[in-house]
Amino acid sequence: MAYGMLIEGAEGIYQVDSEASDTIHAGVFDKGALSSTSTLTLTGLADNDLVFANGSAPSAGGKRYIEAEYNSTYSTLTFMQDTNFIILKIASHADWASIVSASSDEYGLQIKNAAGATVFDSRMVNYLGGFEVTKGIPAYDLPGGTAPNEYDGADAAPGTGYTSAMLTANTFYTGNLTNQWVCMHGCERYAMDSNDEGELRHGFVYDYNSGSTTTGVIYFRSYSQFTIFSNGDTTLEHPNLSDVILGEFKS
Amino acid sequence: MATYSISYTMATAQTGVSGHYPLLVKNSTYCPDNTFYIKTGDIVSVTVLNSETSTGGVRYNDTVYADDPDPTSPDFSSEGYTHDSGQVYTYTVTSAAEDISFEWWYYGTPHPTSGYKYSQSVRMNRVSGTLAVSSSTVEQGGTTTFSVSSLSGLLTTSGNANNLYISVFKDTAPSTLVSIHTYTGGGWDSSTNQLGTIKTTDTNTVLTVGSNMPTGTYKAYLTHFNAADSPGGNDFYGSEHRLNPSGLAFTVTTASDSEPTASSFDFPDVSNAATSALIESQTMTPSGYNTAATVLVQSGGERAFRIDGGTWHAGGTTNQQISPAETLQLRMRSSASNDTALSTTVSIGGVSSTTAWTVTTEEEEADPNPNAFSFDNTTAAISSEKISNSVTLAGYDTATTITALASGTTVSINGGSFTSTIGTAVPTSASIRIKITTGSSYSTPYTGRVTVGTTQSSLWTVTTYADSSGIDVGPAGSADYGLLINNNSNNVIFGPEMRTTNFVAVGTKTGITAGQTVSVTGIEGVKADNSTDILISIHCIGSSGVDELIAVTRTDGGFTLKNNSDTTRSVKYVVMRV
Repeated sequence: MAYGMLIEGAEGIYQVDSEASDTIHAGVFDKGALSSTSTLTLTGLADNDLVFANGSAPSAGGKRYIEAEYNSTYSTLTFMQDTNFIILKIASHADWASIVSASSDEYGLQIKNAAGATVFDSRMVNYLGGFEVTKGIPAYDLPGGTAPNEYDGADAAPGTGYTSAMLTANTFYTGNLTNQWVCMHGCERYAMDSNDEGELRHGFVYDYNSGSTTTGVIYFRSYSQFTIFSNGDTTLEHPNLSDVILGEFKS
Repeated sequence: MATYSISYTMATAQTGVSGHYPLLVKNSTYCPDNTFYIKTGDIVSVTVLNSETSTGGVRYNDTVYADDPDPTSPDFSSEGYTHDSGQVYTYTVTSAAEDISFEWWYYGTPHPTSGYKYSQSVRMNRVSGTLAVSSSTVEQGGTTTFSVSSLSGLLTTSGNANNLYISVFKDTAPSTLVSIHTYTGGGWDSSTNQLGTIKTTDTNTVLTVGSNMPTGTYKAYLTHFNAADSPGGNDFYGSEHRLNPSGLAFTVTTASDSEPTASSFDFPDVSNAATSALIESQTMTPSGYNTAATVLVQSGGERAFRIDGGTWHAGGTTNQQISPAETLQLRMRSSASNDTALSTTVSIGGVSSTTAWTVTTEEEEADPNPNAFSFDNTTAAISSEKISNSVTLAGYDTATTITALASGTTVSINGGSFTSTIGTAVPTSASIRIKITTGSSYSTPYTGRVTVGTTQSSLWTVTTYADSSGIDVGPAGSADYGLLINNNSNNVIFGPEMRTTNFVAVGTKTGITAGQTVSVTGIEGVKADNSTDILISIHCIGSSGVDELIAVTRTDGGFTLKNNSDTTRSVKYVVMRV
């Protein structure tokens, strides 16, 4: 192709490439909050939608567990606690059509690839806002682990469960948590009960500093806990199988 | 030779009348049929008295048996047949046939009517015979038979009458009569006293040597009864009456005993013997027997014996004999099992030892050292305590102890507290865990190790996690080029200095079997080394398990998924370019 558009950012990061056939920008299609008072489930998800979540402080110094499970078709994602969410949807998805057509923007940039699929549209970026990926933690870099006496239904005292060393090993962000979003793809949750027995994978904890509703840490939480006969609970740690992706909403 | 003398006064027995010349019997019990017995060479001396007159009162009658020898003194040819009372008539017995038995008749003092008032006869019988013994050596408790051959001159035996006697004398000075019958079990079959008897009806007699009769050489003499007035001494076994003056020698020996004392070959048992080893007994010298005896040793089990250090003979051999003073030694193979006894029976001359020889193998040595063991290597956070998996120790059968711990390693036995104490008890079948505290370096192996007994565990490695601070994927620098979008608030919502989300691929890989690696190819923009730009998120579909371990490895144009679990997995993947 002797035409088209290739835009790279600083240090050659990818921005747009009309020659790419599969790479399509995913814009913030939805952003909101889920509450147990209404629903904790996102529905109507497309196969290639990416969901990011942010756990706001339940109280000053509290913790928010970001744990969810997909249904078998990946069309719904159910969280266990109140959660803020962002859904990124690819630019070529039909769901953008009405949004784009309804946009009052009469300027901007739309780029299609050779197949005619929209790979970038500035109106999508400007719809709700942009999204910047700030950190990626390679698979298996986080050891995971359980937090005894912490389970979804009861927000145990902050700091319990993980040892300080485990917290260090699993913590991948420290700072203001208000606009820190973790990718939920890869999350699993099986047969968890009120005693926290079952299996949790790819969960996160937003652990706010004492007295704060803004600053704290985000750490990875992934484990199996079950009872073997009369030997009591046995817990196994699971590292992150997927890259952990952390990003910020831009508006 | 001896001189047998008698002196008698003629009986009142008128000659020519029935009952004249009555036979002079000196001993009606032992010698009732003659006057006395004599032997060739003996001198017969008969003194005849007339109770009525001393002069010319004795007349010798030479007419009874023409072939009888007459007294040679007095000399009848010169002195005639009439003598004074007290005349001594003598004769030396010869071996002539006529001397075998002869009678001398005497009478005297004319009877008023006819014949003579007094008359008497004497009869002498010359006996001879050869004494022999069936065995000149006889053991204590044994028997031997004495017999008399060529017996002649002995009148017909009847009860105690007309017997010859066998007496036994010691052959060493002083030669004294041996009371055969006084020794245990000793005696003659022909009498109940010390003398054997020979009869005309039985010329054999069996001597049983008493078991306690002294050993040595003896002499047996054959004697006749002496009814004469002289010689004196014993009428049954006096030396003058011996038909065999030199005696018949025989020897009494110790009784043959092939039965040693049972306890003399009770071989000391052997304990703590090695298993399946040929074990030799002590050498013993059986005692209490005096003749060769057959050794019988139990067969099987490589049992064997040897005599006097000679060749080993297999148990069950029946033709080996041991002699007094020879040694005996046994051999057998010990049991293949520990603490197990095997015995060997042994007999000599039919006598079994009091106890069988027993070899007991050593008790199995308690093994305080478990089999090799190891803990599963694992990962942990830095500066954190890490406890190993629990391992149940095996292969030891007695309580043991912790003998060594690597620096910084503590150990827990059967769920107990962790300790660093060397010597901590470890019971059998114990479960054991160790604990270490990792250091402060990321991605660094830290190790622990424990030694139980002499068994050292494999080095347990705990590798600390990588630095979890992640990769800041945002560009470090700034750019005055590229695409930048501001929103109405003039905030940058898309710019050249921020990575944003670009979907590349979504897909599934199903049925990845345990250990299988599958490839996902044709993924745009993926390179083996661009993990900063390409993020891959995976999710195991509809599965649950503690070992949901899928490893993603980037390649140029895709990636591989390796199922490190033990269960077939299906994976959904999402690839983003940022």
